[in-house]
Amino acid sequence: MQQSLPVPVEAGGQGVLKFARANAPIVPPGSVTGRSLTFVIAIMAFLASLTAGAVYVTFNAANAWTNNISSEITVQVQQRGGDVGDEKIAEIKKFLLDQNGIRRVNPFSREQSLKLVEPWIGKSDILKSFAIPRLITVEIDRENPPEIQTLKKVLEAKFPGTLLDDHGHWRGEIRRLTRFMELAGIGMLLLMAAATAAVIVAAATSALASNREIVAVLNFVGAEEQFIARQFESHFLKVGVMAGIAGSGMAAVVFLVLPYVTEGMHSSATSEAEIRRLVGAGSLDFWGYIVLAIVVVAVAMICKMTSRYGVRRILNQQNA
Amino acid sequence: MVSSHALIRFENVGLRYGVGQEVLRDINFHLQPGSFHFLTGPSGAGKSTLLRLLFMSLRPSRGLVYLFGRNIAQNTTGQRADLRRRIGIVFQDFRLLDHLTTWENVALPLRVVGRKQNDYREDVTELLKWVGLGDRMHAYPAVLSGGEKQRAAIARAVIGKPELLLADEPTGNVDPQMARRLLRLFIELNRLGTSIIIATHDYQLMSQFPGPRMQLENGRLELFE
Repeated sequence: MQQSLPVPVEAGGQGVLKFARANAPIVPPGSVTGRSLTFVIAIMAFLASLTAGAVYVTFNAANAWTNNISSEITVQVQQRGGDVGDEKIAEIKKFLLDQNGIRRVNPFSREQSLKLVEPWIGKSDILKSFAIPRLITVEIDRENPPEIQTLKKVLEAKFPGTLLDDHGHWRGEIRRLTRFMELAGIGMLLLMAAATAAVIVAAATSALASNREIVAVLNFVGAEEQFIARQFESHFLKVGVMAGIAGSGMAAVVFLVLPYVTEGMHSSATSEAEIRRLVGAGSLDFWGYIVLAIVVVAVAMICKMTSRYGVRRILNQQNA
Repeated sequence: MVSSHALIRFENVGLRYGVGQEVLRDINFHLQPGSFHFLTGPSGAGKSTLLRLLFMSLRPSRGLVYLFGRNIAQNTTGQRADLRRRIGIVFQDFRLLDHLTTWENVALPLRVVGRKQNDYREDVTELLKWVGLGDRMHAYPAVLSGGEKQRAAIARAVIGKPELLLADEPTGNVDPQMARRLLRLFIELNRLGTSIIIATHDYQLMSQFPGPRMQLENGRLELFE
């Protein structure tokens, strides 16, 4: 460690030499801010930030998924002895738009409906001969939703061959899935937080142990526990903040470039869109970055608390 | 008769490490303020252990220890720090902080109680000159000789004008001339009211100051006034 030599200077004009640095650190910074400690904490901050960010992205995607699916219902119009004419579709659209709580009605053209089955059957002219039902997607006003069961009864009675699907089955399934994802995410986050805390505590405790002699001397010259703890806390807090910013900063960079990486990884535009719909693009919004900032604060606090309790433990061993 | 104003009072004190034999047994004594004692005895007799008890870094296995009229077993952490400020200690292994200069090491007891450097600058410098370290104030402990470290450790112990000074072999690493000089420092401090206990093997030193002795042998203590 580089130590600054005190420079003798005349003090108070009385010919007394000053041989002390004004702010000579009682705890040498290098003994705490060693590269290995900073490196270990930065890695743990990086992993914790990645986990927290990933859980945040998953939560958001799951919420968006549930919201989208519950704000939409679908009307199927079966073909009965011939193609469903556009007039009938227009009639149903008008009927739906006249109901309360309906925001938008979007009938699929025959071509669009055929495209939906392409992934299973393939692109073939033979599809055109199939009696594929026409679909109408209906966006409902979530603030003021219609009475779905009544609408279903009236619609199916007024237009025979129509089926109204409120996606209830899917909603249930998706709720179960998102709840599972949320629980798994929280579990993962807790495990990661515990691992991060354990590694930081172990690393900081060993850094503190190497300063046991300083704690002992301060203790024996009559320094109070708070005074001794303060000497170490400021160093450990600094290490925690620096390493936390480095680790979480790296994670933020990962979340910034992730959408471009995922875009480059998928050759098919469809699969990329599907992945985005399922788990989001992998990028964070403002609150996502706040989550990363919270990780920095948590890491710094763990360092500070470890230092405080570490000093107390050493003092307990040294005192009667 | 045990005075209620005793500076140090030991009542039936015994100490054992773990489940081993007692290294100190049935220690009973009291010392008045302003006293001067040599603590002597063969190696391994328990001199350093007794000093550690006095310095509250060990707790007796049995019995009671009173310092400045207070039972040390009932001290809070704050009270313990208060008591330590009234005690100066010279360790056998000096325990100087390697990253601080001699001057900064000696000033440490004043710094930790929040005193401003301007208030004590001259005192520290003066004391260091007195112990013969006037030209070594800027040096770090790593470059000091054993004797210089010893003197710096003594200076650190006395800079706060303690009421009680405990010294563990304080003249073990210095030449006879410096030993006499340091002893004069201890005597001067004692004259000014500091109680002194010096643990030593140095019979030549003790002969120069025929003061009372505390003799430890086989874990038991005898006082020779």
